[in-house]
Amino acid sequence: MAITFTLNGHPVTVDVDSDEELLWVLRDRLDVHGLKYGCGMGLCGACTSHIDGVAHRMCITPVGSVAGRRVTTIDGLAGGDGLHPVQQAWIDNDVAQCGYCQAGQIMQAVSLLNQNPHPTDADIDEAMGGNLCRCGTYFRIRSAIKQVAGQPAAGG
Amino acid sequence: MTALDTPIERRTILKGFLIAGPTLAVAVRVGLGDGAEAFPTKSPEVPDVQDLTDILITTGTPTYYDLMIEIKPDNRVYLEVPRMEVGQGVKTSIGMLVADNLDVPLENMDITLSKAEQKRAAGQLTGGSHSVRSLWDPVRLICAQMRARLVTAASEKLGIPVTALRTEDGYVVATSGEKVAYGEISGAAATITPTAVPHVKNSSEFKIIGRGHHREDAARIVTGTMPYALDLPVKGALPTVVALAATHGASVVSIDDSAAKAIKGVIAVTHIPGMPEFLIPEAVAVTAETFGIAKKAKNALKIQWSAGPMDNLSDPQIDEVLNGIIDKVTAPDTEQMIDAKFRWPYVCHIPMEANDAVADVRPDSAEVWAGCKIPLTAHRNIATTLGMKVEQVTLHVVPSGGSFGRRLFHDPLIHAAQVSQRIGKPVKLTWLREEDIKHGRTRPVSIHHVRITAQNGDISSWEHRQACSEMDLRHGFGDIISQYITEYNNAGACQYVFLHTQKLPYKTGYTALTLKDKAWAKPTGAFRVVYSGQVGSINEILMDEMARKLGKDEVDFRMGLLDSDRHRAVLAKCAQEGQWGRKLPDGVAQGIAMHDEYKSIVAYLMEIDVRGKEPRMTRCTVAVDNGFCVNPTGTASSLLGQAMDGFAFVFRAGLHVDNGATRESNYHEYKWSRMFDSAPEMSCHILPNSNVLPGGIGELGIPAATGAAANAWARATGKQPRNFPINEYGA
Repeated sequence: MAITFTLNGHPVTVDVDSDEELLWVLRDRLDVHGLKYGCGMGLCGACTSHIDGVAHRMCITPVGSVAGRRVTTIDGLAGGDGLHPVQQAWIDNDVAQCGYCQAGQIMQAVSLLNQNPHPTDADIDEAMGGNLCRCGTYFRIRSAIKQVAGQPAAGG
Repeated sequence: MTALDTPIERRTILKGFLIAGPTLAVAVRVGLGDGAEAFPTKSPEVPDVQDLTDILITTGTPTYYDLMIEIKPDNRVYLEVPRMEVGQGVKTSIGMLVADNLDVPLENMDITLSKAEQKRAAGQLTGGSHSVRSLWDPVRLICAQMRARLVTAASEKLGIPVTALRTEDGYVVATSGEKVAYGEISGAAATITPTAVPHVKNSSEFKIIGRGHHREDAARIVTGTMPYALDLPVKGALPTVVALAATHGASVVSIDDSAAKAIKGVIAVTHIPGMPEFLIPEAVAVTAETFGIAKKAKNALKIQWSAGPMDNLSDPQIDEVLNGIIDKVTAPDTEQMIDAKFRWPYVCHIPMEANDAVADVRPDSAEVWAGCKIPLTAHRNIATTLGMKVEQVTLHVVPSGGSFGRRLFHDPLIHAAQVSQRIGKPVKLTWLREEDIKHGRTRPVSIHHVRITAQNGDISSWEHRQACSEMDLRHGFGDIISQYITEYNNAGACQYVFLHTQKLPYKTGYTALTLKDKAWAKPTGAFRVVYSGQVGSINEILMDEMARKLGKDEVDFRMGLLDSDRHRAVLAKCAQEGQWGRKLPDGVAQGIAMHDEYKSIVAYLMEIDVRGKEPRMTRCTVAVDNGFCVNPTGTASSLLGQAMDGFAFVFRAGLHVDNGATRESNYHEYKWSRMFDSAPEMSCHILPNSNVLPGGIGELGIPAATGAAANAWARATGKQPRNFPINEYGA
């Protein structure tokens, strides 16, 4: 069936089964590769993208559920050639190691900061707890989030 | 050669023998000021004389001087790094070495990875944390020669003598101020007979090396434009997943793919043999329009599998076998003795990017793209399985989303090549996470019997007996000779690696660290820091326990026993920065531990809070002496990250074997560290350079981080950690 939604600011229509997972519709049918496969069960957050500005796991989101809605992946986050402030904070804080999970981490962090511009450590723990990073960059992620929130980070 | 350039290897060897000498040992004791008789000093340990790093660099050196560094007409410098990028930042650090030694801005570097090149023999291995050290001298010498050629070419072009020219920021600059871009003269420089004398830079001349730099790929990572294997634009590559055996080592009896093939969008179901001689499993692959469809079809396959060779084994039987082969402890029972048994479960690597590869196999040639730490072995095996010569196969090495040892193995490359050849189309193949966890390589399950004794407040003997499932080292070290040796004598290779890595950096009297192993069908392999992850961590737990048994402070006790000033400086820095002994609430405690490997020394001081539902890390302080630190930013990133590995090993991670099958299948069952485990306060302190050569750091921290987490938990709870992960077993 034909399903229309807004992808990174542009309308798209796909003719697929409505239960196909958005992760694979975006990656395999629409050539959007910023979001990653990690687990396929919503357990690791590597595919995290936004639906109407809120973080969701694309690997367990049926494409039919986003009909008429706005989907934003890391590829469309900045909305131009520049960087979103969270992306810049990620560079400033040297967050990435292998980098594979970081698109999902950034999309989760943007969603958190949109809803809660001044998160506490406990807020960060809760909001980011579903995003696995195997390189263990959590400390730097925390620092980057605090930078955007205008809070000093501890240590280095 | 200046004194600064004296190779460290010679000093290390001398040091090893000096430590063995009774005179120095007595002197050290006197230096401690307690006047006690020195306990018999232990013999030099093998890694003090020659460790795995020495072996890798010695065998690889003949090929290290073949580097691809090209100065383009637009003055950009193209560098191929003959190593694998898995997040450790090797592209950045080698790029820094080249930029500094060539006198070009780091931003002018375009850095990529070398494809598999058989001419490199042993020079294309990424493992054993030796990448930066191995390329340090070659880069310095090659870049000095390149600068001499550029100066000579500029001299001819400008008509200015070479003595009045210098290199700077990608230009040859005359004292008069005239300058010419490298790119304008690189063609002439390539063929010229240099008249300028090559000047090899010494450390006081470095402008880039030794200062913190962002990763060269940071901007691409944060914008999602960094291409991992499955993101590559290989035209027509079809999504493919694999189904693997019900139990380890089983083979296919029959396949009913009617339901799978009935699913819309399924393109092919292919039975592939794998390469069982390399523990690359037989598989049934499903190719479809999307990975989502392929996964659904995989789940619809009805495959009958044979019985497997370990179907009668579950964890209790595995432990029973290991208890039967472990070496006996022999030290006599004394009053001041600790006799302890430990167990580490199988753990798997779970890099965030699962096992994947892209392959395009045609009748007369093949191209494969994948993350690969030993591309030469993979290259040969791909050619073998396709019935081709290696010259017909191109293997592109692609930066990957993590490895931790996983990408020493090339299972998905073989699978992708086999499927592509059989269906006649290019494929992009991934093991789904379930296959990665159930069938991926693992750090071997191990049991340890350790007996340490003390007399007069000193450690008089240290026996550490390990028994584990045999580690698969058949991949060799990248060269054809070691591959044959490991392939035909894997058990011998295990002993070789164990002996060249395991040691104690303390005066431990009579010391014996031994390994026994048993091969099973469940795939194993080197996991970040290899045997030290199990052995070194336990040694550090017992250093703490012996200190407390003798009524001594855990840091003071280590200080009195450490091998060198370099070790003591690291421990002192860690204790000082981490405020060892500071007051903490009941239920929160500090733990400290050290590790020495890869020519580097590290200490971790971790604070663990056990008051909540699960233990959590509340603070972590790291101190490191990594010889000559190239990129302090990368060093800190890696070591702070490794704290989370240590935490996971102690509290979270463990696989179970039930009747020959691995129980866990995804991240809800196989658990790793999360944001809520990480400490709000973490810091890494890098000591002043102690050497002229860089040491490794990419896995160095694991034993110390593991030991520190366990020691902090022990001090917070009063319990003795023995059976991991603690969240499952309680102690």
